Amino acid sequence: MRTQARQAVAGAASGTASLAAFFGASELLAIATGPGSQPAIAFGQVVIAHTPEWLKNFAISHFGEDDKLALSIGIYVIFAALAALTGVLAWPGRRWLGVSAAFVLGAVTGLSAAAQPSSSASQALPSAIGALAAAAAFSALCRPAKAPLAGPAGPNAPAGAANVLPRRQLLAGAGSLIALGAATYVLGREALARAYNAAASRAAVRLPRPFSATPKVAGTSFDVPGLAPYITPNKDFYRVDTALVVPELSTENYSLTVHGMVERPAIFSFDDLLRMPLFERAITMVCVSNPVGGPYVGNARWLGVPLAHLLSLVRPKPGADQLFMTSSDGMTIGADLKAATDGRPAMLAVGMNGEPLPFEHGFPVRAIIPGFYGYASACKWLVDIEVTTYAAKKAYWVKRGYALDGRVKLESKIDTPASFAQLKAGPVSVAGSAWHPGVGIRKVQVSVDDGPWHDASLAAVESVDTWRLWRWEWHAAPGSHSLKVRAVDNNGRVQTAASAPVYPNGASGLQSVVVTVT
Amino acid sequence: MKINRTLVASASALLMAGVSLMPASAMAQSKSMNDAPPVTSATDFGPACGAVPKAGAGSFAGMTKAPVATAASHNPVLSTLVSAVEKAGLVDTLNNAKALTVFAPDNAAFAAVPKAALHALLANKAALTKLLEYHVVAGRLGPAALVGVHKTIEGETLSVAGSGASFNVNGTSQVVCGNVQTANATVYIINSVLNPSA
Repeated sequence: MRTQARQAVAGAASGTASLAAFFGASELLAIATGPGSQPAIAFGQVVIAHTPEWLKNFAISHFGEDDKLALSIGIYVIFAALAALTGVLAWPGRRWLGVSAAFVLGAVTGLSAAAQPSSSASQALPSAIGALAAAAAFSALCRPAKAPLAGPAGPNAPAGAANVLPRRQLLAGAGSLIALGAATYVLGREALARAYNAAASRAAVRLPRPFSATPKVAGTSFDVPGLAPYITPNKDFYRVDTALVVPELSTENYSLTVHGMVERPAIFSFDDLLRMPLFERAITMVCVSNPVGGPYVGNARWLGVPLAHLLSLVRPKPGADQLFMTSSDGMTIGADLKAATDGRPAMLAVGMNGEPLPFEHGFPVRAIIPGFYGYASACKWLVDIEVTTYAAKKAYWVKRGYALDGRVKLESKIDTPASFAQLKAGPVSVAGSAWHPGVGIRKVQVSVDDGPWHDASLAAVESVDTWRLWRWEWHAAPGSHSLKVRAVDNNGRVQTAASAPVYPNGASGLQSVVVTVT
Repeated sequence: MKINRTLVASASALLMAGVSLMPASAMAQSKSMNDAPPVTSATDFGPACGAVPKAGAGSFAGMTKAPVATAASHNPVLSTLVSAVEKAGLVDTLNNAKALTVFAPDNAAFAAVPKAALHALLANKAALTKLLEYHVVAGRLGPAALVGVHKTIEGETLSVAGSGASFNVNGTSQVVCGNVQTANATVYIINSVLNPSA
């Protein structure tokens, strides 16, 4: 019995040591072939893809946002258990069993890596090298001793003892191998993180063509110096968030968990999202902290998965009214569930003006819901959506007193002339923008020195979800003057002159600009 | 035996190296929920800086994030100036300007103006605008660039003299709290209202 127990220990140690060799060697090679080729990661992706619903529900409801971590730990624990078991079964006379198991492991993980979308055969190399290392390790540990054993040899020697290494050497060797494998694995992970940073991941993204895109329209702007362009370039797009360090996620490890009051909770990889039908829509975004005449407003063409489609996959339950979204940096954004499915182009965006989202603007995935301020709609670096109720959960800014109703107010601004501009008497182009995303702008008017309102000329728009540019030709007389602007939306509503501060639901008021004409 | 010792030694060394690398990469990935770090009042100077609220929107930290008219509106020391700015309709213009230097008379400065003259001024939008524009210079002037003659928005010039933490405008108005940062303007709080025609 004791000998059997000792043999079991020796077998388990050797099996585990060989697994350590597998992970150590494969991780080192993965530095060359990339994060997706790591055997455990690749295998994990396959597991996620084939997990039955009930098991996914269990994982999400029990682990919540730690579901990925739980999966990783689960995989390592299962592999370690299988390796130990194989070692025990193979000990001491069935070395072929351990060696074969090493190659089976290499084959399973290698095929998982090579089978990933946009993957190649080279992605299987780390698994192959790992298998060789594991096979070699097991062979070395399970080999007959070269030197004669201490003690009686020959026909009186204990049965089976002549075929294995002395116990101390064996356990020391196994222990060293485990330590070496673990160390190499950790180092390999670090080197991988440095070599395959998020920038490389973003550069590798190939955005699919949308099934539908807002047609581009001529005449959406005016040739007036100082007037912002109709489409805001990414580098000029306003950025307001609380991230001290911009999160840099990579698509290889990305996943979006959708759970809560849904029939079918799900975990989506980045590739899953890219495979869904995508549309592209021009949408103007506004920050709630935009003061009257302020810069926190911008317009871009966003490419993404319609939220309605995503929600149809998970099937929200009756009674739910909030999409409680969580960002990778911990920010939470609560969005109106009804608005996500009422026909407006609400989406999970993966592209901005023709390229993958810039890091500062939420790479790889963010939400966009036209008609709502960002704090109530547009979670960046989106990793989790819980379908829930406003009664049950309060998002970050709502906890700080901002309104539950985050609808964007009808507003307009003057881009040019600028504050305190020194102008020449005569014709002056006054120009700017106006917006009421989801409704659209019908009219813009300008008043000089609180005088009568003059209608401005309006540029074309691609949809009611974008701002509308305007211009008015002013015949400026010398002196100090103030210019004021207001807009009328497509419902006939006139922009309010009532002044409201940014807090708690967005600024309102008619912007004025004081200039000097000589 | 010799091989095993070497293996153990090298494994331990590698393990320690790997473990020490992990915190570094974890820090590189760290995110914070905090807003931008507050500007310390060490950059401000002057005897009256103590009158600025210690916390909240009107404090030095609160004002750095707000455009100048909004920042001033949170500061009780500047309430008369703020109501003058509102009467002149200059709030948006000041808030949306790119970069300004503002010489801001505090409440005591306005209290020193004879009541009748002050009321007449507040009732005359054109005169009020002209007066307030005389307190604004285009561009953000730090203390190092402060001394000298500067053209104001109103059109006429003002001159600043002094050094260190002691400056005066036009020879008579003392800077009592200077180099106050707001989102779009550097503010110098002064103890008397400036006069363009003086």
